[in-house]
Amino acid sequence: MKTMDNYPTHELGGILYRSGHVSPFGATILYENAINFSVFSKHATSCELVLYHRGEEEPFAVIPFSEEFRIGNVYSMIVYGLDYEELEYGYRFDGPIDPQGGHRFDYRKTLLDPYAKMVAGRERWGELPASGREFVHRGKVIPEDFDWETDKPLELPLRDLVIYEAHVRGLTMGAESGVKYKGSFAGLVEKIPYLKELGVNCVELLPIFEFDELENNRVVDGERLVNYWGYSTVDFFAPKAGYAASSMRGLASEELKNTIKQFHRSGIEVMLDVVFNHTAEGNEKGPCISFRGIDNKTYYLLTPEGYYYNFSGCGNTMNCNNAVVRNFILDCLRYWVSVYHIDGFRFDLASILSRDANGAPMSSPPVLESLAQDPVLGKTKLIAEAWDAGGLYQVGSFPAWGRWAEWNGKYRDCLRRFLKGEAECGPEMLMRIQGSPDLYANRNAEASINFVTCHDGFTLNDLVSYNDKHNEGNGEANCDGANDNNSWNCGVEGVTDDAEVNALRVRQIKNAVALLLLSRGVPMILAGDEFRNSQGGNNNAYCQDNAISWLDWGDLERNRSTFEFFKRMIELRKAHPVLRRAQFYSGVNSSGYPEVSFHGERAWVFDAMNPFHTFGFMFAETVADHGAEQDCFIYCGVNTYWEERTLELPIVPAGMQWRKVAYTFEEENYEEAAAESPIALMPRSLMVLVAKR
Amino acid sequence: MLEIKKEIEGATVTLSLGGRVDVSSSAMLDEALQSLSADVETVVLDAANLEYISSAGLRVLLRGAKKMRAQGALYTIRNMTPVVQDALEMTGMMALFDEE
Repeated sequence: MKTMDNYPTHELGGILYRSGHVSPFGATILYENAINFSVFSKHATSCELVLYHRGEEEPFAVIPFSEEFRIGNVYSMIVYGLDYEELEYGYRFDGPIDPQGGHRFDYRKTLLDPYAKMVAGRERWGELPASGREFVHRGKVIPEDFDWETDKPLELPLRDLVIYEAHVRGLTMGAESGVKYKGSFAGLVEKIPYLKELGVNCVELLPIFEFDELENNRVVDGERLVNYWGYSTVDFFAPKAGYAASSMRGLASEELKNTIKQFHRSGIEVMLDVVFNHTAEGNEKGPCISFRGIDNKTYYLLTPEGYYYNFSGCGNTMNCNNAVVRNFILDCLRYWVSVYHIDGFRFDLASILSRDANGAPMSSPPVLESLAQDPVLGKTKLIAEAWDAGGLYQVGSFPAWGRWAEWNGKYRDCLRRFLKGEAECGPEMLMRIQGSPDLYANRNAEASINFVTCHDGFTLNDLVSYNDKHNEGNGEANCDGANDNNSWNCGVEGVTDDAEVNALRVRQIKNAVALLLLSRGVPMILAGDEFRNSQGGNNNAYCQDNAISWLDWGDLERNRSTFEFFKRMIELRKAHPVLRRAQFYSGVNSSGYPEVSFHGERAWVFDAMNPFHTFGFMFAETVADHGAEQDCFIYCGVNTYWEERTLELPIVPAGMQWRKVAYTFEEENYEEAAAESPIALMPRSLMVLVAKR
Repeated sequence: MLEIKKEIEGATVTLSLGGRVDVSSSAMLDEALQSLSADVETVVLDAANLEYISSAGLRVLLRGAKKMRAQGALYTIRNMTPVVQDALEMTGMMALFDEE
């Protein structure tokens, strides 16, 4: 059937067009080279569609939206005879030039469509624009279909995840990564067998929405520094073209979709780190890329004088609870879930999403509720970084509607301090091991994303190798990055050939990951920690697109025992559902024992209220309560003291025998062995035992 | 520009492709694949002179694979240049093709 869409009504310089569909926003291929364009602006007075042939500086057509093409605050148009693979487009808006009133229109600027599905011109990572030319971000049109076969988001229970936080480029750019398509989505696919061997079942990717890596690029000590992490979004609907090995062939979207499909086939979810708190347009002095010139007052939080509020620490703050922006965020995430099959999102500085138009925190922020209740996102994981740069800290109190989980910063801080010997953190550690019921009493342990390290801060190796940050390479006189790291260098600052120090570092790493994987809640590992990847003490490598940030895969063979230990701990967690139980329960279960219990040097005798360095904790797991393969007990003896300590093992039912399954003091941990009570724990070591029939 | 040379030998059809498959030429390859008779048992795409394949071109190859699968025909590709081979690898499309 031919619809009215087939009949152009207007012509300009040989280009045929007509009024379009207001929905969906963005540029959509209708049929046979006809494309529908639709864009919103509340405060603009007029709008033009600007069309370019690929890579050309001057447009081949500028088509004004005539008055009959505007419905409400939406401009829409169908244009015919376009080759979508060779097309780039943008918009020009006119409107009040009134910064104090919140408007920053500039009819001379060609602006990026906020709904553009791909951005042109940045196919090659880090390629500087030709000198003297201001780079203009233009949209590209892509078909959205893909041969997914039976794939869809995996919907693994959150409590069962072991999350692996990775940077698309950093994971495989290293010289020894052994992949063909280095630094790309396709390169991730090549690492799937490795990730399966490690045992993780979710990768969380640092931002992959199009950003400008050249933003604030500079040369320090001969090294070009760029926005490597990408927490500065240019286009929320477009994958970062420079992350696709096939970008120059126009296949970035297909490459990413295939990457996600291959992860899913291997039972691994894909989660994205998303940054809705601000955009790459910065403050008043920043570039005019998109939102600022389309409808500044709608998209940003502005002071009464028309300046940008800066709760993000990055110059501007998105007006997330504005009804239009809220829908924009929803549209974006629905798109990523439905078109790219993304399994979940981690929201950077998510507390900004709880602020109102004046920046004040709200008790029931509409955008967070909308995300929690959205039909398309109904099974999508939602994880908040529950703080912002404006001083809002909501760990344990983030508005959740039973849906939101949080990066548990308190878990990280407590575990770090306890491990380096701060006995006063002992009582809090008991909460953290149980999934932080003190923080999430109204929810469950799934709300707690537990971690020791993440991209932001020291790697795990550096956490045990450096007392202080070493960010000189960032060119900011070592003033950037956190000062409060709760790190301990084990006696020598940085790399050393002191065998004793190195052995202690390995032990501390293993202690940390054992506690992480034996804690209730959802563990997250930073990529490379499993083989002691180092950033040379840089705890803020956001700008280092080089060996500082790229994983050094040569470390994998050099630190095989650490890798094997990680693998073993992940296996142990997967084998024991009691460790992954979401419900806070520590009472007596069908074993006749408390499900979670704590022990001192004598079993069952423990002062949980006062500081301690040494303790044991035990989980009682049963077939009846947890669907386990067989009834068993898991005991972990922890000694963070600098001298040897002994711990008495709890008596287990007749016929059961304690067996040591891991001991961080031993270089190798592969042989299980029968263990008798009491166990001796060497300084700063941890032993895991399992008792079964 | 796309050139397609078709050779038939029994139940085997070889399509030798030269030039580029993009939006403007993809319909031509689509027609060549979709019009193959249901009796064809093996389709060989000879890509020795294929310089470039775009997103639209990959969709046509996919449609070809769906048709060949439905009629139980072998669907193979040979003599790919590195450019074309990489494009198929990076997008997971090598899996569309049977081994010869």
